[in-house]
Amino acid sequence: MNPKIETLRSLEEFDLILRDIDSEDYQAVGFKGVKASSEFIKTAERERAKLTKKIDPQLLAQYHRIMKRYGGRVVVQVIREFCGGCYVKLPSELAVRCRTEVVACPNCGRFLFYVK
Amino acid sequence: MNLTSLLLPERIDLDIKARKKNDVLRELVRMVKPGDGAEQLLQTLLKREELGSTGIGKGIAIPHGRSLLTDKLEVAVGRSVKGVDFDSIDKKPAHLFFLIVAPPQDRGNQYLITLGRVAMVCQELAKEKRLFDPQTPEEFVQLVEKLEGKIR
Repeated sequence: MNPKIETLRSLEEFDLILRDIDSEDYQAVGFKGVKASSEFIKTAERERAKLTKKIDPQLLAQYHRIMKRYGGRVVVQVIREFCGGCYVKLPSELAVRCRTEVVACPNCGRFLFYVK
Repeated sequence: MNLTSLLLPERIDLDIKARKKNDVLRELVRMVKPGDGAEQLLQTLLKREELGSTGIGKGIAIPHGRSLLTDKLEVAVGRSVKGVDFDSIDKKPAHLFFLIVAPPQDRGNQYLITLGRVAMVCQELAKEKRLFDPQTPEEFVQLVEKLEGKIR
């Protein structure tokens, strides 16, 4: 996986963790202590900053734009040449390029990644 | 969805050898993602642990997270007789580890529902002091099924 896409993937997974921790359902499960901890916000900001500083500002802005538009699933897997976000068939060369380069879906703009 | 439908005997190791938190997570990850993506999943779980331990006390830890590399809810279980320091809230070693990995989005919020059920079943296990009763993965699944019936 392209290292930039790899970092974007890590960022999205971290944002998903924060989103879950923030949800009432999660609090009800019995992990209330996480958010209640005085260290939580500081640690969350620090860990998120570690990831964002590795990402080009332009890509980060694009990440936030897609996140705002779709509420998640910013970095998606290519499944048999289809975008894993909007399920549109991708041009074959794009489906190949996303294995090594930062490539966005021409239809939904999500970042694409490929795993064997 | 029953917990037992997620518990595959090949993903239950009742005698894990790891002695450190990170190694426990690595062993659990290996059960759900043996090849590509294992390291990425491990890093995600470690990030979650940075925010606060998933060691809920009474010898139990429920490491969990969402992964872009998975498309379904996956569970793995490990047990350590000696126990492992997991930074648990009661500061005591953890013996039972329930890993839950979910895709970024899931229908009906199954992930959090499952997390809740696992927490309840684990608490029953601890309350009844039966963490070390099962000798085989199949016995473990049977015990979970029984305890899950109680919390319905």
